[in-house]
Amino acid sequence: MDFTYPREVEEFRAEFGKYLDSVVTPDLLEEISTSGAETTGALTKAFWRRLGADGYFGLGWPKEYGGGGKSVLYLHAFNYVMMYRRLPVPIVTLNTVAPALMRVGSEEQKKEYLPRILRGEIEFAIGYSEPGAGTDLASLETRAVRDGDTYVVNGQKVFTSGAHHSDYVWLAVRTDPDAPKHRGISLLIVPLDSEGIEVRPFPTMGGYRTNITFYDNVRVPLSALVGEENRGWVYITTQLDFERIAISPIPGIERVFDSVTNFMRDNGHGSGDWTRSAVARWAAEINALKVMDLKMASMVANGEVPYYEASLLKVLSTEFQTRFYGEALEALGQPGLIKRGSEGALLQGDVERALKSSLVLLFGGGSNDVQRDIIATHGLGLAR
Amino acid sequence: MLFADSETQKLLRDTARSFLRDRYPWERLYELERGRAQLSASDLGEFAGLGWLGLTVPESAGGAGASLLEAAVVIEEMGYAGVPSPVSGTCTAGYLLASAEGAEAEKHLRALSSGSRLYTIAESSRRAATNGDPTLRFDGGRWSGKLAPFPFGMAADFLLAPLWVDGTDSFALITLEKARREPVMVLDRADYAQVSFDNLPAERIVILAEGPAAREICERCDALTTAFGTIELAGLMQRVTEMTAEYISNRVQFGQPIAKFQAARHHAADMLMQTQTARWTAYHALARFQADPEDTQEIWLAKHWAVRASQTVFELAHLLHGGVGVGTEYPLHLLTQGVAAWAVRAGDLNEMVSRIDCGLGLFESRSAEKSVV
Repeated sequence: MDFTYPREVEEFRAEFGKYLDSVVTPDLLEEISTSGAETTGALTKAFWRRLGADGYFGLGWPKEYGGGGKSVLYLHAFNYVMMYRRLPVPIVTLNTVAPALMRVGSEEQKKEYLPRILRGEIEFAIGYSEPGAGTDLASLETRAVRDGDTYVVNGQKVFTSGAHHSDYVWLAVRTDPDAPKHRGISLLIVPLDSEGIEVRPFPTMGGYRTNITFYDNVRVPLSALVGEENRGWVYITTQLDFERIAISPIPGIERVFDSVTNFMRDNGHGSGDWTRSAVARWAAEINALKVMDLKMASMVANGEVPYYEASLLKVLSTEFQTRFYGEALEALGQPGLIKRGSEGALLQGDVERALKSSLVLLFGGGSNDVQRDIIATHGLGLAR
Repeated sequence: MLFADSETQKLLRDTARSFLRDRYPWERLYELERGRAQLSASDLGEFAGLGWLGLTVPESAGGAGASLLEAAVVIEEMGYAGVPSPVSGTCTAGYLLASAEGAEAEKHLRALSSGSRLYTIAESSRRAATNGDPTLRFDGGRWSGKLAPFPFGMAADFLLAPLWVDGTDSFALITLEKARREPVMVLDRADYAQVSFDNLPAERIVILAEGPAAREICERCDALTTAFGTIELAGLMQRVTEMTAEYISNRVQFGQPIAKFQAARHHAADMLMQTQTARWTAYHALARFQADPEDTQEIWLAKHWAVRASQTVFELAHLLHGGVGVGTEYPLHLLTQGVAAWAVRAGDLNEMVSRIDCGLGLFESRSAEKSVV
């Protein structure tokens, strides 16, 4: 049993930290903290192009696509460092779109998109959920109908995060309404500046903006199809497994834990009887999450696909996260409730905002109740 | 013993439920939450007209002469309606001022009940001063200092505040007219302000009590603030639970309402268990305090329970609502933000643990330690 990160990954992590120290400017941090995901600002885009040019987006990509051909542990270390520092990562583009294109994209698509993704030049939004298709994603109704050499798309998507600053939407559409619901879905790459697309803001708690997107007779060429027609469900579910690993809240949890405990040390604020026991419990829980997170990364590195294991970590980490931020507010007391921007806000109002932002992950990336079903079925072999 | 509303409580509840539903639709609450509007003089006038601001003030001083348990019903309904309400503050102020004697106190009680002046409580000023520093200094006949942010800080005319003045426990009535006020946005509300004084003339702050007498009033202020706060929290939790039950009954996935799935049903059942227990323990604690104001232990126990119960309700409501629930144009967040904030407000878990342990005779009370400083 070997529990250690390979030495070269540790070295990479340290080097990458130093690299970030040299390229992350106070202006960039200011842009990130004030934009509140409202938009990807000019400095953030420039930062991504820099990361792309310096090879960080393609670390784990096969060499044939211009990547570094490194083990997934490098990617894990990269994501961890970025998220711990709250630096934005074009996560769905890198972890959802790119791997799918490598597996099932046409040669033309690979040539057109992969190099630009690698250079940090383009960004994708994901268009899966609909008003009537959330947890039950396979009942989605957005239609794509062939008309000569184009698909004509009509419908509505919700939680199209990033659509207001992305270049393309990775769109799940129904191409065969007569087939069983899992067998009539396809994936299309749709430029977001296509005629007939409307992007409306959907603001959420914690200041994060996502979108509702409307598709009114949007035309894309048949070459926009990803993989085979009506095989979209298979592609979507495989990618969700990757997404479940990529959207781990653990680095963010650790950042808040570190900043709250540093604040306590600096201000003699942690002497409350309840806080003393809570901090020890948080530390134990975070340790458990980190170990399970490493196990998951290690599985992927060894060529296994975590399935129920990914669900297990998703449930534990997201539920702990919401509970932890609420408890951290208890420990900080009433001053912790003050929002960023008002006088007296503790830790720039980070914990207050983190609590609100954390809620999305209870259901995003697959509702925790569905994850528990997966764990029961695939972890324990229980009959459905 | 009857665990049910009395006739008077029923009447108050029905009136409050329908009045608040009519006057505070979600659109109005969004405006308040975002700080685009504040409760106006006409809102306060309506509350006063219904007798709510002076519920705990004796009839002889212009109030409604209601019991604490009756006042609690209106406060619970404010939570249920999601209205950022001054009522728990005015009811606490009325209760505390009513225990003071003299013409000056009666003048304030009349102004409070009629709504001609708004009174609020800075309960957190003493609770927040964890390092033992005085919150206000009195020097050369003038006041200086800064209070921790408190509700209705921009709008209130008078403030009742448990304070440490020059290291002494004090309980003060402060005229806010000349104070410097800065609006403060908190997790769920936009009506807080930070108030500071710089060489304020002596007469602007009336010290109602000092030393042991002040400690007694401060204890009552803390206890009542916590009890009312827990009941307001229970009102919020009840509404969140009902909204969630309604949502899962109507939301169809996999061809049926998600309320048909056992996991969703069990979550909703957990929410109800937590909510009802929080509510009844808070009322029970308040009844004991009403009978004997020194009997506060159950108030701390009730808040301790309610904090943990509220975390379950907060989390499960959002889990069951999915994406729609976090949208700021959907009303759930107006209530769940309140649930999260009231879990901390009016006495956090550290304070509850310390008080409970002290009440059990196990450890020294932290607040007792502090008041010796």
